[in-house]
Order: sequence, then structure tokens, then C-alpha cells
Amino acid sequence: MPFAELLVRLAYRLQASERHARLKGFFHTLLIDPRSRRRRLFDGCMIVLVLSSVMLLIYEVRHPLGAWADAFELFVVSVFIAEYLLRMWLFNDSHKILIEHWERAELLGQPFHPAAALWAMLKRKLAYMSTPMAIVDLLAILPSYRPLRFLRLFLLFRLLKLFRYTRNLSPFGQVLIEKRFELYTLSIFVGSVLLIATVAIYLFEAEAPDSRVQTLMDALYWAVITLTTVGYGDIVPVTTEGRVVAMVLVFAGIGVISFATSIVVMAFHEKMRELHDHRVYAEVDRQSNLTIVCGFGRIGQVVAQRLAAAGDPFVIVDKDAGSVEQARRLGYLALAGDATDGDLLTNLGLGRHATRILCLTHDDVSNVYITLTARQASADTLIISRANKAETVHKLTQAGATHVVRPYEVVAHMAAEFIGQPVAFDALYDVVTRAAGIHLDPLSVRSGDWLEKQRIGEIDFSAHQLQLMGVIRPNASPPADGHARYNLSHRHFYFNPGPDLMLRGGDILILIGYQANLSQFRELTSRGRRGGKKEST
Amino acid sequence: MTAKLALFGCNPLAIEVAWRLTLLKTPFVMFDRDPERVEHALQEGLVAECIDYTDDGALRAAGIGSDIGGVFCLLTEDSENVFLAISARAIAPELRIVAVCQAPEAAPKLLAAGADKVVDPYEISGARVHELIERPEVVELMEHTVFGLQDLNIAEITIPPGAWLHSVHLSELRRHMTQNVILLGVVDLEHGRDLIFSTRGIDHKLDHGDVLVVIGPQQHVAAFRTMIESPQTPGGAA
Repeated sequence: MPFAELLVRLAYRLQASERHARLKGFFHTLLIDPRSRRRRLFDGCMIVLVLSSVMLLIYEVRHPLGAWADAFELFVVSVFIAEYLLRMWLFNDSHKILIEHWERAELLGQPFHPAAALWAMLKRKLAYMSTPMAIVDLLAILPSYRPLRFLRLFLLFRLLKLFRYTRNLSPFGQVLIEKRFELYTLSIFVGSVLLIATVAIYLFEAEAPDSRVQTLMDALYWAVITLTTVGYGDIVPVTTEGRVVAMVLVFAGIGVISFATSIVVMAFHEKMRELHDHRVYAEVDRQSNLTIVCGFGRIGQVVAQRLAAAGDPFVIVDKDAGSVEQARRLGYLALAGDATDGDLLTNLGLGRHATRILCLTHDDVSNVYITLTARQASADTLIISRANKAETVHKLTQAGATHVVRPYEVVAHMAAEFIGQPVAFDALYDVVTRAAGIHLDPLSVRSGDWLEKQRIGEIDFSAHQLQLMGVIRPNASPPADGHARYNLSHRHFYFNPGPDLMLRGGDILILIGYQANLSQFRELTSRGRRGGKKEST
Repeated sequence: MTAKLALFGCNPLAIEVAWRLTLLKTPFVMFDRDPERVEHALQEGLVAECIDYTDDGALRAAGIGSDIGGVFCLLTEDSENVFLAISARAIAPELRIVAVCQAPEAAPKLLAAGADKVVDPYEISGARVHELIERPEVVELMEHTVFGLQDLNIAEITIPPGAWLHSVHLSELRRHMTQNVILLGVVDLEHGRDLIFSTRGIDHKLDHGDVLVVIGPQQHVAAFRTMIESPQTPGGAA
């Protein structure tokens, strides 16, 4: 019993150990986490290691190398062994199995059998060892065992190891796995045809005087070369019966080749979308501050165009394959899929590197659903949703949308404005759509800026061809009297404040002007120079 | 604006415009070809009539060319809006016509057909969404003030004949501006019909017919308007 007790105590200690968890976490990001930068680096190093060791082993076949090559091989193999053991360790938490067995035994009042628990632990590890990639890993270690020359063949497994490190290759393997039923059928057909052809040609030709089919191996070789339509011509049938077999086999060969080709082509065709999606996911993974645009209708197109112009990374999700195709033609990252699918949004990194999601589909129901899904996935994501009906606004806000845009409402505002005052409307239209290059831009006053503690009258906006529309000030700041004040949510807006208003950190200046002037002024203030200050005051 | 407005189309967009006009207390009437949609508008409590807008006689009977001062072409198809704009323009050359377009390619066609202004709902909404990402403060500001119901308005003031501002420079006007308004820009007829934003820093010579665009609280805008339209130079103010 003391052995069992020791085991259980050890398991609990591991369970509680923060260091153990940290260590495991570290190796998990290094070896397994598909999104970690460390893993990418590790994969790169392993690829170099595999290729160089394989090249060295090939070179060594004809040219004996010195001791340093042996040392290198030893190093490579140690790395492989360490990697193999680490992966086995990472595969599952053995101590949890032990604890589970112990607790179950305690609960049911039965004796605890350490052997059973150990066997269960071993079974899990064996399950890992029997996975294809683990077998490849193990076989990749073997070629360095010199005494057995044929083990050199396992050199190939080292190359297969590359599949592990390059994610682009794995879909090809998957294609073969997914089509295994078809391939299995094909191989049974090929096997039986070969068997019949081999036996037939042997029966007819082995006895013939000028025949080159001497053994069953010759017959099999001829059958394979003929069936695959290669036809070297080193062995040819000489009897009439043999030639008939050849003719039948040639037709069977055409059938086999076309069947095999069609299986592979079809599989890849089906896989093409997935392959493309993989590429999009990989591309998306590299971005930070990503915007997910759901729906590539007209509004989605306008937003995408603007995001692209501003150089902000974004990805488009649309149910309609045609829209996705159109987006791709424009050079945007796009994915055909249903944005109401939570997994899709998670794959796109919502809540991690995707910090914004725009729900712009035509359908209010979808928009509400996407908004809710996105809000559940992450509490601090910026969600902007489109509401086609007025009554949806409330639902979207409740679902967690940060902002709601109603296309018709904006148009109604503008159109109503136009009838009364067309010129004012034009001004508004230009400012809202930035059509004429004129911008309404916010400029934040940070504490320690030269703008802080400046009076409005002391800043010469007109020298920069800018106009100050007003100042937004947080509600927390003490209010300034004697200026026209408007309420925003959590903030006040001082319209056209007088020259004596003193700026504070946290204020936002609202400036009207052309892009170039605004950028210039912004740069001046960020450099902390008093470039905008009036000389005469 | 006392002249009645005509809204063509009883779709959700038109109903939205109608509510906005109701809020602004502007008289209007809605038209559509489809009796079902007209019924829907009537149920919403709006004034709507069923007419065939492809028929010039029906348009005249509806008041175009007489008591209708402005037309909104809010029909769902670009082609319908083009047809309506052409018909309305032919009947009443002085009519003010606003049209919405579905596809951006339709905008020049609508202008050619006689619309004074084409509004692209998707362009505006898309711009709004992008602004919400880039400059949420500005969108919030516009929503609460200019577009909202708080007392901050954008207004245009045409300099009437005989006003003191005739042949006066902009800098001179600025000296007399005591109201809390911002002069956003000027349509200087000598420079064409486009609005020139004040930030360009041009000292325009103002004449009658020029248009000033200002933003400010209602009361100040009204005072400014009175000052502009007055025949006498504001005395002693500086």
C-alpha cells in the first residue's frame, strides 16, 4: 500500500504544482499551439534540422565523413528523442487518470489498485504512440542506428516528419485519408486484376520458348508495368494468349488510371475551398487589430473599401459564394461561411487578434444572432451592427452591440436636410462621407501635451487652415461655464468655446479641415512643439 | 419651407423619411403604385395616395407643377427613379428633386435625368460604420447635435439683394460676427456653385446671391440671419 500511497501523493502534488502547469504550458506553446509564434520558430528550426540531417545521411552513402558528422547526427537524434518524449508527455495528463482511479475507489469504498491505474495510464500513452504522426516520429529516429543498414530506408520517414512542421502540407494527407473508402475499393480492384493478369501471363508464357517471363516475379513485374500504362517493353508477351491478356490488361489499366485520377482530382476539388479557408485563417492569424466584416453587400463593400484605403486589416465573411468571389477578386481576404457559426468566428480570432466585428448583413435576424455570438465570445469586442428596421435597434443593443447603424435613418436625415437647405446639405454630405477631402477630426489632448493648459485663444488654428468646432470633455471633469454646452453620453460638448477656455488632459478637440493640414497639426502637437501657438499673444 | 413635399415609394426607407419630415413639421404626401404598400403607409398614420407615377397626368393631378415644392424619388428600382425624375423635371423645371440610388452607377444617370441630388444610402451607411471605427467621438457628436434633437443646427443663409454685405469681404463680416456660430463655408458665385470651406482661408468678396453655411444654436443662427439680411451695416459692433 505504501507504493500506492506514494503514487497518489505524487499525482496530487503534480496536480497542485504551478511549476508543472507552467512547464507544460510552455512546451504546449512551443510544440502544439498552432497560433503561437514560438511554435512557428520551433517548426522552422526542425525543418532545417531534418533537411540537413537527411542531406548529410545521403552524402555519407558514398563519401565517408568525419567525427563531426557523427556528432551532428547524435545531436539531431537527441533532439528527435526529446521531442518524441515531450509530445508523449503533452498528449495527456497521466496524474489525472491516477487521481480519477483513486477518487473513484475512495467514493465506492473499494480498494485502490495501482496496477489498474498504471495500465490505464499506459494505455493512453500507447494510444498516442499508435497515431500515424507518432509512428513517423519514432521511425525517423531509427536511421541513425548504423549496424542495421536497411534501417537507412527509414530516412524517408524523416522527410515525412516535415508534414508535422509545415501546415500547408497536411491537407494533402487529409485528402487521402478522406478518400480512403474509394482508394480502398480501387486497390482491391487493382489487386485482383494484377493477380489474375500475373497468373494468366505466367501460365501462358512461362513455357513458351522465347518468353522472358521466367518466374512469377517477372509476371507480376510485367503486369504492374502494363497496368499502369508505363510499358517499358523489356518483357513482352510472345504467345497469342499472352498478347490477349496484355490487350485486356491495357484497357483495365486505362480504367484504373482514370478512376484513380478522378478520385484524387475530385477530392482536391472538394478540398479546394477548405484549403483556401486554411490560407485565410493562416493569414488572419498573422494580423492584429483585425476587423471581421460579416456581409459583403453594398454597405460591406463601402466599409471594406475604406478599411483597405486606411490600411486596416480585415476579413470578409459572407454566406454567398458569389460575393466572396467578388471580394477575392478585389484582393480582400474573404471566407464563404455563416457568420452565425461561433466556431467560425473563433477561428477568425474573435476576442484575440480580431477586436472588431461589423454585422452588416441584409437580415436583421442574422445581425442579432451574430452580435450575440460575438458578445458571448468576448466582452470587450467592438461590435457595430446594422439594423434595417427601427425596432431591431433595441434588440441589437440588448444583444451587446456597441453601435447600431440604421441605413434608412441616416438617409432620411440627409434627405430631409436637403429639401430645406441644399448647400448646407452638401456641406454635411461632404463632411460625413469625406467626399470633398474635408474632414471632421478629433484630436485628443493628452496630459503633458503642450496643448494641455493652453487657452483656446492662444492656439492659432487658422494658421494651419483649421477650424475648431468645439471641445468634448468627459463628464468627470468640472464643467466650464459661459460656453454653449451639449450633452453626449458620458461627455459634454462645448460648441465653439470662447478664447478663455483652458484645455485639460482628456479633452478632445473637434477640428474641421483638410487631411493634410490636420495631419500636420497633429504631428506638431505630438512632437510637443508649440508650433500652433500665436506669436502675438 | 411651406411648399408640400412629395415622397414617391411607400417602402421602409420612405417611411423613415416621412417620420423625419413629421418631426421637422414639414407637410408632405406619399405616393406609390402598389395599393398594398400605400395601405401599409396609411396604417402607420401617414398621408399616402395610390397613383401611377408613369402617367404625367397623374403626376400633375398629384400637385407636381403646382403646390408640390420638392420630390423625393425613393422607389426601390434605380430605373423607376430615373423615370420619375425625368417626368417630374419635365413638368416642373423649378422643382427640387432628391433621389436615392441602389447602384453607384445609377447616380450620374439620375443627375442627368434631372435630380438635384443623389443620395447613396449604402455609401453613407458604409462611411458611418467606418467612422464609428475610426472616430466614434465625431459620429456621436453629429448624432447628438446636428442630426439629433439638441439645439445645434446647420443652416444656409443666402445674401438677399440690397443687403449690406454686397461687395463686402469675408474678413469684414467676421469682424461683425458676435453670435456664437461657426462659418463653415461660402458659395461664392464668382467661384462657381460649389461650397468653399472656410478652412481654405480665402477672403471672399461677398455679393448678393452668395450663400453662407453656418453651424450654431438656433437662436444665434437666427440672429446671424437677421444681421446678414439687414440692409444696414451692424453699427458699432466689433
